[in-house]
Amino acid sequence: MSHTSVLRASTHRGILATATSWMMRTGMPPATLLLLLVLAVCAPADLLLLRNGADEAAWAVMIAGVGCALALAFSIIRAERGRHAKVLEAERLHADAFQYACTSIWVEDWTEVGRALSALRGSGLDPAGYFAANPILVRQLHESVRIVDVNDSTVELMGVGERAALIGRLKDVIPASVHTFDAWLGALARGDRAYRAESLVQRPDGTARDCLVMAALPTDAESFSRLLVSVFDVTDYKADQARLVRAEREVARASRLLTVGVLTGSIAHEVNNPLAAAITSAEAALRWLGRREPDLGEAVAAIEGGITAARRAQDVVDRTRRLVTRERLDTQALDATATLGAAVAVMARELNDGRVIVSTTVRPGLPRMQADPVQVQQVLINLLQNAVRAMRAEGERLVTLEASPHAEGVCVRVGDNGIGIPPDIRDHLFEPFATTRPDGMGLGLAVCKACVEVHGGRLWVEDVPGQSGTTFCFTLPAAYA
Amino acid sequence: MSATIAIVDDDAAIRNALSSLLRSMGYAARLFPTADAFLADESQPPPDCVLTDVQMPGMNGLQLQAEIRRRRPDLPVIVITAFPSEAMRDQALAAGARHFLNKPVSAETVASCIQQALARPETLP
Repeated sequence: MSHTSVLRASTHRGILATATSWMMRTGMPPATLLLLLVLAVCAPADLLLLRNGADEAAWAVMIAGVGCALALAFSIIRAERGRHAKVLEAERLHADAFQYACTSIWVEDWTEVGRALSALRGSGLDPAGYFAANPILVRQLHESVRIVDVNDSTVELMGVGERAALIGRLKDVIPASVHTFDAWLGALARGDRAYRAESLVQRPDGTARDCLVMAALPTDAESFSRLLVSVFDVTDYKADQARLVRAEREVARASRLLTVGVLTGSIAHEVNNPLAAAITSAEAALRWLGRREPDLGEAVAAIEGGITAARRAQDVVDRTRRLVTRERLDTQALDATATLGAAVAVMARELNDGRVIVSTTVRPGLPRMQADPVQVQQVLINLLQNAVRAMRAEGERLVTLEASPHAEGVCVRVGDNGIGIPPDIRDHLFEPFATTRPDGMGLGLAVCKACVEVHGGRLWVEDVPGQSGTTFCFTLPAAYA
Repeated sequence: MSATIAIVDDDAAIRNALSSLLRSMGYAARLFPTADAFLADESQPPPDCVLTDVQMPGMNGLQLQAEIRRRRPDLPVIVITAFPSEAMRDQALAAGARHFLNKPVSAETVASCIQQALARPETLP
């Protein structure tokens, strides 16, 4: 067999191998299959004819094989070109979808976080616990996250002129992200499939937008390098919500005012008459006694009438107090953690709207509280509302809730770093109608005090040396053994 | 013979207190828990002055004043209330009440008003 023959046979085999590989990869159109079959026949036929000395026939088969190879190559090129066009189209659609989507999309590189999680899990450590105990690592991980791409909606949302202003370290582009990074790490450490949170996104110009932030969290190490974060601007929706809440509050306040008006009118009506009778009786008694010959019988009768009337007035006051504070308490053994948590949950919207951070501490070894849950909630919510309203416009807004053991059972402290209590109102703080707010009725603390005292507890305002703001404390008895 | 003052008030404590006060001043007092009870009374001698509350079940003090004016235009009426208002005062005085008093009222004021009312038994047009 000549070298030329071996070369020709090798060429056939090479073409055959390439075509087979291509078809394995792309599927097998019918025409290509036919060409392949011809090629498959040509190579052994060529060899056989050469071996038998039939050179002309071998050349004919060779030419047929080369023809088939060219046809096959043409078919491959055409198919590849079509496939390439489809890939380009898909990429263009993807790019358009990303770039022109009405939703803000951020592409972020969290590779270092992925590595840290992988290393911690590989070492058998609990990532959440490790992160909680190592704030420096958390800070370093936060600094490692990079924004690698954003779309047009993001540029618009952030109010920047160009996309490049938003590319770089997350820490630099959105400094406030440090406050939510713990939540992201927590979700990743738990293995959550998605992250979803409401967040205040600070723009470079200092303004802020209320946003709903969502992301499908990575399930494998590679995905950490391209974390897609969707951000929905819900500022207008929240503003509508806030208007609705304000309207609800106005209605509630008007209703409360009406109730107080009716209650006050009722009390005045009930109390004025016996007071008038008592005063008139006393005046009558004085006149009976002031006569030249005092009439003791009439004087005594008038005084007795006055005393009876005064007691009637006292009864009215007692009845009203019972109406407000409910004489019969439905007390239960209350867990401080659950009780404080429930109050914070009720206040969640107001705290969130006021950008207030709440820190809750329940001291170890705390007994449960024997109290009416509704009244305790009323007290806590009232104190939390006061704390939110006392916040300064600038700076960090903090509310601390703390429950600790106390000689009288349990002591709950509700502190804030707000503007504090004006000195002129401090001495009358718990009296009805004492208020610093023009729209307030000043009944909240008076009601709180009544609620606490009906349990046998105390409510007072505590001075914490060197600390601004206000701290209210109240005690409740410990639960029965 | 001392003048008789009719006290019309649904609150017994007020009735008794005013009665004691007026009697300590030397007047005779006749007590009525409602306007209807007063109008139905035919005791003799008839009262010389009426001291009436405003807010009462059934006929109120201002309606009683109008009825008294229709029946006995010469009988002076003093209106006394625990819940005064400008409108109520204007209405009572326009309808001929001699005085409009707020509860609680001092003994001196009561004495003075009754003396004036008894001294001016004029009839309104």
